[in-house]
Amino acid sequence: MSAPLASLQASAPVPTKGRLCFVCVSGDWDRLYAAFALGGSGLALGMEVDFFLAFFGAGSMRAHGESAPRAGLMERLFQRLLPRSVDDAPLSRFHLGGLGKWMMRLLMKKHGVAALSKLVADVEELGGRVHYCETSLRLMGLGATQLLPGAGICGATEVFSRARGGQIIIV
Amino acid sequence: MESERHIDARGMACPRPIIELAKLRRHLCPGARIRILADDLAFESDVRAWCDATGNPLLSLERDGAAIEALIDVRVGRAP
Repeated sequence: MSAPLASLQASAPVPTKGRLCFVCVSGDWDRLYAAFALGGSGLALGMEVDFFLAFFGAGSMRAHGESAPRAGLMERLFQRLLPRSVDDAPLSRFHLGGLGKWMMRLLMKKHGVAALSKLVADVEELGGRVHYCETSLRLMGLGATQLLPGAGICGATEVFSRARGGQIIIV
Repeated sequence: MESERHIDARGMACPRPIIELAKLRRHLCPGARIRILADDLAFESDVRAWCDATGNPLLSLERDGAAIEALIDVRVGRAP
């Protein structure tokens, strides 16, 4: 039995325009998830959304690939300590050496919550752009094949250039 | 003859139903309709906000058990 819900929109709608720039400095799964869920919603509303991945944000959002040719032993060792993929990023709290994350995975499955990698793919499909901080890539020795497909590399100035007239949200 | 497309977003958590709606909208021309069924608790307010913000009128919004069904008139579709 279906019942109509009260009052549909009355006013003439105006397409949303706006710009959001998420600067993802943290590599924690929950922070990245919140950024990509909000960014995805903004894209769904017609906003322009950019994600700038820096430091541990860049370290967590990696694809499988080769390290940069200039990466030395220290950079390669550092990479071994980073999550292997976006879905392996740690929780900011209650990670408990992976136990908390394992429980979170089960809860997500039970409640129909999509994986972070799925959300990232949706965001890209809706036109969201992902950029990596050049300094972070250099520090961690990340190579071009370790970036998410379609992502670019940018400097700090480009963040402000792309954010002009919009909001910058640091997570 | 206008086409009507269906999305069954039951079992999906926020913001997936709206993301699926936005993804489908990108492939439709003005004049099409989207009927979407979702049971995420934020869906009613989210779909109203989406319709308002994107300029695609909400034709009906009905509760069907635990789910909510929205019928949307696509006015702003893919770029010609």
